[in-house]
Amino acid sequence: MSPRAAWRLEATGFGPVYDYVAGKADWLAADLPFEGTAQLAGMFTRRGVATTGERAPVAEALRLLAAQGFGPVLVLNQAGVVMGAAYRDPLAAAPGEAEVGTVMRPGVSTVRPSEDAAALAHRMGHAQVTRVVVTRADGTLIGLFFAADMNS
Amino acid sequence: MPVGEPLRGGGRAGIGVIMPTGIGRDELRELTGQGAQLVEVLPAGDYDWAHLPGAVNHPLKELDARTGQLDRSRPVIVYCHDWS
Repeated sequence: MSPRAAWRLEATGFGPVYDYVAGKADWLAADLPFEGTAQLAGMFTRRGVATTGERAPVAEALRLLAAQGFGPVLVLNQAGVVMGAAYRDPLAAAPGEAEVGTVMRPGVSTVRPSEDAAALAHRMGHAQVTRVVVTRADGTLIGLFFAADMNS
Repeated sequence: MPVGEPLRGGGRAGIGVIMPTGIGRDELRELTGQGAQLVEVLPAGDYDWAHLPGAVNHPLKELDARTGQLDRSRPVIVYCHDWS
C-alpha cells in the first residue's frame, strides 16, 4: 500500500518521497514509542530483569534470582540476544562453579512487544504459562511479560 | 547513498523518472529530525489503534483529495503496516 502512495505523491509533484517499507509492524516490534489506543505487550513488560552469560557460574545466577524475586534468569550473548533461560531448580541442583550454559534451557519461546497484550495473556492462560520472554525481532532482550501484570 | 537523495531514474537513466526511495528505521528518524512529514496511509481505524509519533493519517483511498494538507516544500515519508 505505501509504495502506491509514494508513487502517487511523486506523480503529483511531491518530492522527495520516501517509503518506510517495513512499516508500522517493524516500528512496533522494535519497541519504539507510538501514539494511539493499542495496549501492546511491551507496555506491560518488566524491564531490567536479571541476566547473565553462558559462562557465568551457577552461584551467580542463583544470587541474581534471589535478588530479583522471580525467575528465570535470562542468558544473553555479548550482543544482548537471548540464548536461553536459567530456572531455579536446575540451578540449585548444579555445582555453584558450573557454568550457567550447562543448565540453562536453550531456545525459549519469545514474543514481540507489538503483540496485543490481552490476546497474549489469553493465549498464555490457555497454555498455562505465567511469563514469557519479550524480544525484538533481532532476538535482543526487552524483558519479561507476566500475564498477571495485565490485571494489576 | 546519503539520506535525502532519492533514486533518480530508478535504473532507467535518461527517462527522468524519480522513484520513491525505500528507507529503514534509522533513515526515518534522521529524516523526521530534519523536518520530513510522516504519513500513515492506512484507514483511520488502524491509525487510531497505533501510529508513529507525529504521523498524520491520509488513507490511500483519500490521498488525492488530501494532498493539499501536506507541505510540498518538505520531504514526505509514507508507511503502512508492513511491506505487503
